[in-house]
Amino acid sequence: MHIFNIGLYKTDGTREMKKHNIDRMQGIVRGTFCIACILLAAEAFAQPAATQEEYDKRAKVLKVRKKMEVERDLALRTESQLSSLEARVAAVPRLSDGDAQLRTYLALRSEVKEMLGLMETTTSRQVEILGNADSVASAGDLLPQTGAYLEEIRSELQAMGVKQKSQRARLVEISRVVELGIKNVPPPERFRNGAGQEMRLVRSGGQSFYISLEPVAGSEGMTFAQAQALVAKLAQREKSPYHLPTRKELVLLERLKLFPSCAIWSADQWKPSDTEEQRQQERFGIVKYLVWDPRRVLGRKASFGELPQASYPKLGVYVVTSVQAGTRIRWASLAKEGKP
Amino acid sequence: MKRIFCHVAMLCVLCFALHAETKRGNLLGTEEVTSTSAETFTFRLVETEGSFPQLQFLRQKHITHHEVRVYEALEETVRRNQGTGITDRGTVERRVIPGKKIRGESVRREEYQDLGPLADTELVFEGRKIKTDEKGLWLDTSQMLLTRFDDSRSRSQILHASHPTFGEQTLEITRNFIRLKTMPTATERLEEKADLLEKLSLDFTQLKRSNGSGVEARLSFPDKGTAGTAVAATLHVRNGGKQPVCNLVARSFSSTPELNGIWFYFGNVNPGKDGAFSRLFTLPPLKGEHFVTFAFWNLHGAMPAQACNAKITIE
Repeated sequence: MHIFNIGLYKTDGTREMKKHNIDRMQGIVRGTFCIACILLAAEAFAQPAATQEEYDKRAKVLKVRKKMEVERDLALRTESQLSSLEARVAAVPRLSDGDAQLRTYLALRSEVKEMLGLMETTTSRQVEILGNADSVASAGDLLPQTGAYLEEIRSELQAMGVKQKSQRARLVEISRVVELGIKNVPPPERFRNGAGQEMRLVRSGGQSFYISLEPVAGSEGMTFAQAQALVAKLAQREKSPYHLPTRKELVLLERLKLFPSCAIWSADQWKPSDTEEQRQQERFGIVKYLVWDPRRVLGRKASFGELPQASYPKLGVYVVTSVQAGTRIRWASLAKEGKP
Repeated sequence: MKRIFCHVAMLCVLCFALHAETKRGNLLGTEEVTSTSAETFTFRLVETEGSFPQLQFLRQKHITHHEVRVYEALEETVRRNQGTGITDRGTVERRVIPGKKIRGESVRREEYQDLGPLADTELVFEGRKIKTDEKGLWLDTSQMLLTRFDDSRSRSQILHASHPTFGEQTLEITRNFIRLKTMPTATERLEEKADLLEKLSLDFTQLKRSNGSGVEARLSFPDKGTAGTAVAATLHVRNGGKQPVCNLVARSFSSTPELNGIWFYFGNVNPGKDGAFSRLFTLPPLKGEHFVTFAFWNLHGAMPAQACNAKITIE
């Protein structure tokens, strides 16, 4: 009895032992040993012949005990997994490669999802254990030690439930950070679109876009209408909004000194600085488009207005697309890998 | 003593009452005092057909007359009222003095006498040497005058011509795209002022009814050329519509400055009629392909359907 009490005391003291797992395991072993002794003693000192009902009760108590052992073990593992998750989530932004970041985030997301699912089953399992313990307790005719043990089980399960709540909250927070991280993963610096064109990210504050690394066409020259048709075809093929670079985008490229190898068409109309020339263009219904030639390969100004039917061998086409296009391509490649 | 004083006083009164003065009467004419003459020239735009303006230079004799105005002499007599029935204030009687004239202020009168065309003469016109033909005519084959008006802000230009002996002369010419029917012609307005388009026999009078939809345009323009040389571009238009097209003009547009901003003038083109206008382009020094659009405009606005696109390769 004394041993049992000690064992129970030790078992009850598992809260203190949380920090010292070894002690706790010892407590569990001792508790198990005590229960086993109790049960053997009970069997030995019981009335001459134990009834079938008593056997069932004992079996139930033993079942509860076993389940509790599993739960304790699982609780320990969950805690360590959660800590590991938190550490890994915090480390993701330090990865230099956006693709690696996204892959890690996606792995973390699935882990979080899995853990949340596990937590659900754990709760239902623990509720079931509690129900088993209650059914044994409510059956009556229990030894006082057994009743106390069951009561301990109940309070331990309650404590586990409280802890699970906080763990769930932590998981939800991790999930939020992961989702935010996925959203904030920088777009890929470069990507190759379906037409085989390599696109480079041009980043500047709120205005970021991709521009083709090499002229899409230009060795033979291309009129403005042909350039527009090419861009429209590309947009249709890629299912992304492709366009010729606008004046704003060209200004940004100039600022970043990202000069194309040839003169390029712009999507924007050209307005001459001379108001009279502008007036005459409007009067005669003439539209000129901006051509950007920072390397002056055409031997003219760095930017000038050109008639849409003009086509020079060194007047090419660079295409621009949104940041979303790069992200979409990345997701598509991840989908091929089976990540999302 | 008293008697003498009375006589003198009466004599003074009588003198005052019958006072007479010589004054300037009507202008009789002028009398030439002296005159000087010098040979000079003048020039004017002459009416021509086609795309090349023509100027005519004429010899003139410039005579300066130094004259004096001659007036009739009037004798003016003032009479006082001495109970003879005239007004209280008296009267002034004027009488032309026969045979007497008064010479007044001197005036200068200039006279130009035409001496015929300034034939086969070398002149400096707008900074470049030109030579007139036997009729004193000079054809602007380089379309210098039209080029001056290629800047559409320019409405009038003052032309300068000089000769080492005959001096320097100026002529103001205008270019009016739109002229009202009631508006006097440039020649009517001022003899010295001439409208370039009018002198090219182009009618830019605004019409009440016009339509530019039936106009067909065709371009003659070489596809190759050498840098720095001049080539001609000719735009041919034909009005296939049922109404006249009013104030038809065209202009070249290009990213190459040498091929940009050249104007072509057609004016009013009646149904079934055609017109043509040529302009000279100095080809750019930059080798390679150059693109030009010749766009049309009439009183109803732009005519994008008629625009002619061209490409020239500079070798």
